[in-house]
Amino acid sequence: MSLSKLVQRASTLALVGVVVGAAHSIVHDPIKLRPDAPLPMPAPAANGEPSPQVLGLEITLAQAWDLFGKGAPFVDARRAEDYEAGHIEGAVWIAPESFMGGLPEVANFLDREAPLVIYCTGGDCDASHNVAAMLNQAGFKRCHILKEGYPAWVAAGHPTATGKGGMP
Amino acid sequence: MGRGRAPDRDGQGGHAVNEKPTAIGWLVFPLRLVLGGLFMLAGYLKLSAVPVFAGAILGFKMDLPDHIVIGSAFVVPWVEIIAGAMLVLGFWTRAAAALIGVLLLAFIAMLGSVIFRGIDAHCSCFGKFEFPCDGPIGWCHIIRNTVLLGMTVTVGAWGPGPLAIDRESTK
Repeated sequence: MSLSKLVQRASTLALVGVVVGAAHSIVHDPIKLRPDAPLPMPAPAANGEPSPQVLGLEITLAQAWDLFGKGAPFVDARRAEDYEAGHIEGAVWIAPESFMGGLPEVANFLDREAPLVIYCTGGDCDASHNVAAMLNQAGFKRCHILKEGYPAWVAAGHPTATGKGGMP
Repeated sequence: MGRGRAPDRDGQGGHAVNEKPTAIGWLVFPLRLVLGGLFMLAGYLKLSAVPVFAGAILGFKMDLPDHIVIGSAFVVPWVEIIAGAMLVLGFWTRAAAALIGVLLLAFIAMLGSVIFRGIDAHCSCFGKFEFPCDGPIGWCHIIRNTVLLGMTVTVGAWGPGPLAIDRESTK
């Protein structure tokens, strides 16, 4: 086969892929790449303390600890092995790959209107942002991201647990 | 014509595909099926969770515009499925292998860039099934893709082998 014919056929295949992919993107639900800023809470905290409404998308360890004390659910977006080895006490495991095949079942047990804290390993890790974007798309309006991640939580001596407790 | 090289009578290159399959042809045959099957699987897994793959592309921190990231998240899996299916069928085998080779070279370059920049990103190449490479992008992913590239070059060099439409269409 001549090189030109090879290139022509390979280009044709690539073009078919581009056309089909473009058509698919038109009929598919819009893709959300980045999480939204969380909606403000509907009512201020009754006890005068700062309520989650003042919190942005990315929150500090102190703010996450405050939400932990108020019973907000935590979501671990790291690898399953990392979750099993150690996670924030009570956290459920929802990594980006959990969304393969749709919304993970565990998400149905979380309140879409309540604040939710998502974390991964901090630093460059963007799994928490990906999970927040996908949870946003599923209707979760108050996703917060613990920017410093799990290592900071451990370093602060906050409660952790091990095992598969919050895994499907 | 004997068992050696034959003239390019059918557009399939050095090995005339309308000859009786050679021993090497039967060795290339499983490579073609495995490679095609793997790429079809990889494409299907990506399409089963396009937002996850788009998030993974974003995690490579290539500073690509959002519409390119989202467009790639749809186009790359479809190209993988189409090229993989062509390999399995043995139709336009060399062109499909060339396209997969280009894809693999691009993947290797991107993975190398992620490793070089020390980014903690995940591949999402095979969805949940990242065997044998687990965890963040590392040298294992580069080696895996290099092995796949070697298989692709072998299929591209030797042609479809037996049980291929390329062969049947020239009988």
